[in-house]
Amino acid sequence: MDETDPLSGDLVSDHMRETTEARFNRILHEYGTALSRLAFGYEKVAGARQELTQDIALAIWQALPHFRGECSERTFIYRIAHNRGLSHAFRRQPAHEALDELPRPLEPVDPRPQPEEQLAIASQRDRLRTAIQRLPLAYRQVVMLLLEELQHAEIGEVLGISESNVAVRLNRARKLLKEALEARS
Amino acid sequence: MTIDNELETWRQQWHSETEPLPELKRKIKRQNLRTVAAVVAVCVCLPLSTIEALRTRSSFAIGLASGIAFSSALMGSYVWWVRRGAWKPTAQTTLAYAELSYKRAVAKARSLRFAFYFLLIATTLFAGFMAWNWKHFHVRDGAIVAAMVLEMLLFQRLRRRKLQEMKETKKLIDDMKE
Repeated sequence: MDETDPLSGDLVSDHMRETTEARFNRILHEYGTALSRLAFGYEKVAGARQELTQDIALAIWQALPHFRGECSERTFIYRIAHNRGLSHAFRRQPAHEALDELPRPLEPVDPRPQPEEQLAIASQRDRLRTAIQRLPLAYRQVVMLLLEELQHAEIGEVLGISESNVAVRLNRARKLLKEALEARS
Repeated sequence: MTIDNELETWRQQWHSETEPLPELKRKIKRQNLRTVAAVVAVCVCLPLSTIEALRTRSSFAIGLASGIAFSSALMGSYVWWVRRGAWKPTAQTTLAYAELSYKRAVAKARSLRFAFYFLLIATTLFAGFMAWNWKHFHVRDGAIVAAMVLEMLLFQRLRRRKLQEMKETKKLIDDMKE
């Protein structure tokens, strides 16, 4: 068999492997920070959250060869991330739930000018994240997906619910979130 | 087109800062290493134990070889079962996944309950046998009973956790379906 034959079994499997790896690297590059943000919704403790983000990456790596384009790549990624997040939330030790506040960095994260402004932004961000973490799971998921700029139809595709159901759920979730933020301000 | 100011503000805050990303490929590398190690272990242990059993014909070597062969077959079947798509994230929506998680939790809770009662009967019988044969009591027998009791407690604890998991999963499913 011609070694350069692109249909040669070994070459094809090598090519497929390379493609999967390259695709995985691109996904991590594109969605890495989004996955890290999503992990916030399911875990408050920093160390456990990093573990969860790694678990999500592992699940994506394992599922990637089975992806046949039945849905968009974004839907596929968020679906896996949320499913893994759910598993984590269901199995979480009760001790993790007792923590009320997010851990704050010891040093300013961004040493740009106007530190008061930076501090205010960080404080608002933490308040929002804490309020999201306190929402019931069904509402938390839609809110996080909305904040990740997914359309209603895409959210429905990820969660397996109708678009109208997404709209109803989002209305309630936003109301709850607003109340929680106002109560904490 | 109206701009949803509240949502835009939340989006900005949500995206404003992300903690440093962990080494995302660490678990993947570890998982790959484990797979390779398992395959190598099976490839080395299975032929060696078989050769040893054929050579010595001792009951210990035959038992060991059979045990390794059985464990390898069990492990292989499990891996095949998992890979054939018992859980396919590509095909599962979150609702479908939650329903699957619920079914799994129910099955696990049931098997833990079965294991608990099975062990309870075994422990009772064993303790009864020890009491009947108390003249030949050995510390080892006491240790076995203690280990069985500890295992029963562990099963109970795991079952309680599974029941909690079932409750939370059911709540999510109901919320999503309402």
